[in-house]
Amino acid sequence: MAGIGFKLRRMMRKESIVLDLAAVLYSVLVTSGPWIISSAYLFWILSTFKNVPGFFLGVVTYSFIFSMMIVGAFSFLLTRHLADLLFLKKYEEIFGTYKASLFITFLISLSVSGIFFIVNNSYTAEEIILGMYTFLAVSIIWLDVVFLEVVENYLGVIVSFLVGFSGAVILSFILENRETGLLISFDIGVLIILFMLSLLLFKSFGTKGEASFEFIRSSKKYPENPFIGIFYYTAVWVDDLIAWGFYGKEIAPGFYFAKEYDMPMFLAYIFIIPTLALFVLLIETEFYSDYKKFYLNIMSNKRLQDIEIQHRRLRASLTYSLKVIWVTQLVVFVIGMLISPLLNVYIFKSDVATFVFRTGLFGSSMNAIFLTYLLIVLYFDYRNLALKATIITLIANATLSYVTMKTSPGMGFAISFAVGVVYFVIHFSIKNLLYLTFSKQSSGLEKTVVITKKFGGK
Amino acid sequence: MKKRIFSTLEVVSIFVLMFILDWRFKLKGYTNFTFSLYWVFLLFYAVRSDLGVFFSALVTYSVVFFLDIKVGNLTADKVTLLSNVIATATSAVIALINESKVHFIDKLKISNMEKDKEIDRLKEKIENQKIIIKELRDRLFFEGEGISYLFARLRDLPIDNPKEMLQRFIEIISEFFGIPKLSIYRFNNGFYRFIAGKGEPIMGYTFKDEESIVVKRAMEEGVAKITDVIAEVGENIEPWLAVRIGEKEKKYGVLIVEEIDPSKLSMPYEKYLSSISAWIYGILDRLEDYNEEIRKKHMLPDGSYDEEYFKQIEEKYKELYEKYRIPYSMICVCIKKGREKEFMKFLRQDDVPTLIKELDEFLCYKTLLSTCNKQGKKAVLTRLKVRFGEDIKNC
Repeated sequence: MAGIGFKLRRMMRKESIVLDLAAVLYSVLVTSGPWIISSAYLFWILSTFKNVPGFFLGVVTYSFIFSMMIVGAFSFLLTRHLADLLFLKKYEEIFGTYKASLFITFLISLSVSGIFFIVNNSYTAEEIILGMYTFLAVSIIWLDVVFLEVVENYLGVIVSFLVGFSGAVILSFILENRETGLLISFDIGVLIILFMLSLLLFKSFGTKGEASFEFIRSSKKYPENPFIGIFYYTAVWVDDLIAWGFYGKEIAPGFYFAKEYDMPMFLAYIFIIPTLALFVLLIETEFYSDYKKFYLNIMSNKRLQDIEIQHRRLRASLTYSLKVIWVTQLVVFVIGMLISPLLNVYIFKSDVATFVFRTGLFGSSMNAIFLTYLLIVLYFDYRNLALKATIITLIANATLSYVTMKTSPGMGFAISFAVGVVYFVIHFSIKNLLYLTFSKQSSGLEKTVVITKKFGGK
Repeated sequence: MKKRIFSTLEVVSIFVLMFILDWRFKLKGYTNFTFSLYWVFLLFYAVRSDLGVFFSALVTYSVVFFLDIKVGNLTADKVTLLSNVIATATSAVIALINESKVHFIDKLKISNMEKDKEIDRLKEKIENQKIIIKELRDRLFFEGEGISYLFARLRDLPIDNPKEMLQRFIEIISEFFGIPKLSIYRFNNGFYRFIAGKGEPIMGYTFKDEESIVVKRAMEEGVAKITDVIAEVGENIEPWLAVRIGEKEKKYGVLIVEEIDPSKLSMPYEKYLSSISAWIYGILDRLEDYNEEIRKKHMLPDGSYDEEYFKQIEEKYKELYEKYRIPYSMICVCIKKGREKEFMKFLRQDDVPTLIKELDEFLCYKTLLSTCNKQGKKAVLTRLKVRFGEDIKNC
């Protein structure tokens, strides 16, 4: 299968404004397709049906948030392991890895949702089954997406989401009158998505292979990766959890929703879509080819002169990509700020929500740049730097959000990701990449054992 | 970096100045004007500067906008807000297109650098190829007409006079291979002694075995180049190339190339010089026996030679000196009777002494010292004086 980079480069090479826009749109779909489709579905439900049950809203939003946290936690480790398998051409081991990660995801999701419904035991058996199923299914969907994105089958993922949510929309009219009708229609839609994604997975990786927990063992090799995932995704959501404590209303037993915080934050996140799309576009069309050539030059023992020139080219690509991402995010931020008074008038109708939108806009902009740096840093295997940055951001967000939530909601989120970005800007550089790459090489010396023997005496 | 700081300060100053004027004279630049002056500068920096400076311009522009709204207590209406959105987006698009072109130029610069390095590499390759072509041309010449011509010339060497034969041999080799300086040394008991050569020998007329690593290696392996032993070379003078004359067990001497164009220091030269050295050794070996017979025929019981032999050798040395400036010396000393055998032993094998007269208790010998200049002669006389003391005097 031709990679996304190849497609995007082919589009960009034609120097046509239509194809350029198509490339950007394609990148938007690739990076945010499932997210946009899911959000559009939720917006449609909220705007179409007058009395959306709190249980439906709670189950769906909680499923999305906590499943992302669970899968995201080991997605960094999983992605790295899958990339290694693809590099080593061990395609037959991928399905085994999928089986193992499916087992783990299933087990964690089952435990988490089980505990939730044990603690909140006021639900009927039907509601518990539907709630647990939703959480499990959504978690597995994110896991499937991780696997399919590794083989760059973005289009398949998007089509699955479109078909699945279209089914959910149609069914929601039919089952509208049932108490749990909306959730059942959503669950059937999710089932369709799961079915289609599974077909794509089987097609890409086959169905053979014993469950392989090798990726857990590979955490010995990359011990930072699972923690980077856990800390990053927790940092992204921790302020929401705190906001529920301050502003949240219980929409169903155990389910909290802070309308004045969650809605503007959600809207603010839409403003990072252009940056994420540009990131993919620039990585695939600019950075990655230079990155690959640089390491290929090293692996094929090219002359130092050639490696240095490629290093220069890589630096130029990276600087350009980062500059473009910074400016694009700034422009989007400024545009968001400019239209915020209009959003206040037409959507939020609340000064607090508008304030949250503004701080959220800054925070999500910083988060987009933080994520850009995080992924680039991991490209160069600076895992320690990535780990420190995510720890700092998580601690800052948890502390500052708790302190500022009442007086300046969203400020903690904004400041903490800004701190994370500043940390990356100060510490990340590829000026010494040649030296660092060289010093990371194995010396080729055999491991020796020192044996100390004592003769005579006591 | 300085330029960037200056540009950023300039950007900030311009927007702040505009804001002060706007605020002081209550112009309400953002709301009252269909085309705000702020946009002109925003667009100017989008077109004129790099993304870094544009970033500063956009930040300042936004800060000033919100400050203007706040300080001026203005209500930003829908048209004002959307027109500023359009201005910001337009300037950003221009800035991004501008930057993509700058980046394209940067990449071309790097490609140019790569091409320049490639050109240098190709030039280097061309030079190497030239050397290889020259080697091949030499080889073709040597293996074709060249070597036959060389041997035809070598066949005419004067074999009746080994010293002259070797000198002629050197002359021919030097001319044929284009080697400006080369010499032949005779090897004896760990010492090398000059016997024929072209140009003043850089290794001196005599040197010890351990003084040259190249020569030592050549005596072991048949041939050695300076490049073979470069890591071991110390402060001693070393020749470019040395080729053993003789066999491993029966070493006659060594052919030393002292000066040569480094590009000629190649395999074909090594091979041809080794072959020619082997050829000359074949002749020398036979001549040695023949000359030894003649020498013994003219030798007297005291170890000196008859006058006829002496004159014959003197004539040859004279000729060699006149033709090739190979030095020789003559000494005349009287030795106390009874110590003449010791005197004979003191001399080298190719020195030629002859008895000229008897004075009471002394025997007077005239002696030809081969390849010996004035300093050598002086050194020999000093050593004789030390060795024989009162038992020796000048003729």
